[in-house]
Amino acid sequence: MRILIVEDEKSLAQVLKKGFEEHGFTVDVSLEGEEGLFMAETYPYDVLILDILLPKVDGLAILRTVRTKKIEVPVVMLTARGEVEDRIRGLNIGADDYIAKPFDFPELVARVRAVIRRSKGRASAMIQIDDLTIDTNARSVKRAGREIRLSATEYNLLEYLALNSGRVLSRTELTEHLYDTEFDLDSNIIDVYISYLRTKIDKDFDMQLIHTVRGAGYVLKSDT
Amino acid sequence: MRIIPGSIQGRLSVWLILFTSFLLFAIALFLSYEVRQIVLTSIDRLLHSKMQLITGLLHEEDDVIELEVSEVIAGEYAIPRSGHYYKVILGGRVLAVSPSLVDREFVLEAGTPELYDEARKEWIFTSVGPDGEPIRVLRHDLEFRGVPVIAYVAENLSEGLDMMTRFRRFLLIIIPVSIVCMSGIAFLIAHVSLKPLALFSSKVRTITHTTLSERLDQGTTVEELTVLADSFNEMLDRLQRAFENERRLISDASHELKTPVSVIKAQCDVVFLRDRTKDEYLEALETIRAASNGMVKLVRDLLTLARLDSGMFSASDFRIVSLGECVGRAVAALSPLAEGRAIRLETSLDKGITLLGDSERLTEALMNIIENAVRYNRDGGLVEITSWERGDRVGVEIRDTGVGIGSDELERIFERFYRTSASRSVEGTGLGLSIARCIIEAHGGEIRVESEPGIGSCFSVSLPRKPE
Repeated sequence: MRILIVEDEKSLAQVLKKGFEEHGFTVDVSLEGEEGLFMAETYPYDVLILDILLPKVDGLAILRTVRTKKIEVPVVMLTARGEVEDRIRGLNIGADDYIAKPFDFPELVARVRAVIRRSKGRASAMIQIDDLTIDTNARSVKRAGREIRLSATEYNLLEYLALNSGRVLSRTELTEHLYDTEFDLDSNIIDVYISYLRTKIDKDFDMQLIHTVRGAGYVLKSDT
Repeated sequence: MRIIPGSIQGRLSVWLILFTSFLLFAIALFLSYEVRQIVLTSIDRLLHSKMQLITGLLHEEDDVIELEVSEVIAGEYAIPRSGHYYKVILGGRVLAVSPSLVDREFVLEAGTPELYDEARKEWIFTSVGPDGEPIRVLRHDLEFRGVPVIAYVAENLSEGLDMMTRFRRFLLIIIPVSIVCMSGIAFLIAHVSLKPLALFSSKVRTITHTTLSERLDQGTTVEELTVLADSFNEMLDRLQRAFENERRLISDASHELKTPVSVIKAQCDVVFLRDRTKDEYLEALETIRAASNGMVKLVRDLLTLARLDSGMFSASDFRIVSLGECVGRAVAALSPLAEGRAIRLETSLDKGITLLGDSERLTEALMNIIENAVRYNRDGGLVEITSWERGDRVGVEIRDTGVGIGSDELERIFERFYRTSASRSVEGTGLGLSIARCIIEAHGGEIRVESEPGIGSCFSVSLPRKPE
């Protein structure tokens, strides 16, 4: 999952980046609104975390522009202005959730995960595809009741495929959702990780879940 | 017991009643006096004509002076209780007396005369008649053929006095009745004329801190109250502004305080996610320390502002202060910060300049301004501090080679928590210049700023030697 944090308090932005990265997220940070808006319009984030009071362009303005441009990314507002009117205003403009500073970090992570799930049309934190079970909270994977150990990147790739199961995902899209802006997009690293995942998930089973769509990309689905 | 009630309606009623009662009594007194005068004047006129008639009857026949009474006149005076009397004394001897006075007597000249006409030799007395009735007596002295004559005529006053008594009785009834009626009317008038005031006050009462934006409608109320409504509305304007400023300040302060608290909380939450190396813990603690330092400074600045706002330091505590020393202390405190970025602090100070003020506060104000000049300067920049005195004013000029302030932001930099777009990345509470301005204004001075973006800013502080 790739998220964007727009927060002008540098130390808070850094702590959030570190915390989210440790939860398996790919995190971009912007310290001001103008750049934040540009990034939100340019990259396909899974969630935007926006502070309201920002230099140049404030968080509500970013949200408004993003929604005007029909970018359907989930947005969590993060602000010290916790008054009810502010929350209502933010939600009415199109925010998906609102969390007031000072917040509990595990709560923020849970809320971010929840809005991501809902945006993919899922209510539960457990994803079930045939006999493959993914617990997005514990970041654990089981196939036919047997625990499968994955590296962080393998898990992130599998989670993204599972959240979008049935949909063909291009290599570019997968790269964009798994790596931050500093990553060179021209790499075929996705092919490498897909082959690792196949070894761990599909190799010992008759039914293949990860499929290659020639010239398009990959899709995770049960054959039936 | 209070005679004048507290309410305007009560007062108005009481004053109206008192005034009309007084007026009615005055009119009654005047009228009864006038009626008495009219009655007496008409009787006196009658007495004069009777006197002329009686004295006209004197005549001499065969050297004997006589009073010849005609039938007509005799008829009027014949009846014993007619109330008409006359008596003529010729040279000390009674010449004639009216039949009504035969064998009867009363004091003709009682006390001092009420009226006296020297030229005509006439006196008027009020006396008591033979039947105990009030009598008006006219005495006239004359000479007839060289013999002195004293003539008296008298008339019963009862009828005239009766009329006066009836009139007085009438007044005694009509005045209290009028007063009672007036009280009612006064009360009503007071009630009706004060009704808009009652409406006005009930409307004022509905305005609370949550409805401060409401205003009183001047159109519906009476002319006198529109002035009051205007004053009220102006007061509400001021209250609303003050209230909104206060609310914005509280909201800003809470926002500014929540930010470092969030940093500390998030840092703790993240660092406890898993076991960390010593370096990671140290790094987290360093972030927490920086955030708490920011909070300490913010709380200190907020308390300073609160103290300045509540007027806790006053001109009565002012002492003679050397402006140069204040600048010197501020510069000394800031030189480590300046040296760290190779910024030169050049001072050109006149040690002799003094003013009446609070040395600690002035130093704080100057320190905030100079700190700004350092923080927003470029590395290796320059801050020039010059003191001056002109007439009864003294001042300091602080010129820097910093980022400068755009003209659209120039007005706002003294606002609480306002930070220019260029200053957000620099550490600070956004309160330093507000505090500086508060302190300088409390000294009766002013602070101005000129700036050219990219070249630098110049803050000028001007203070009176003695605050007013």
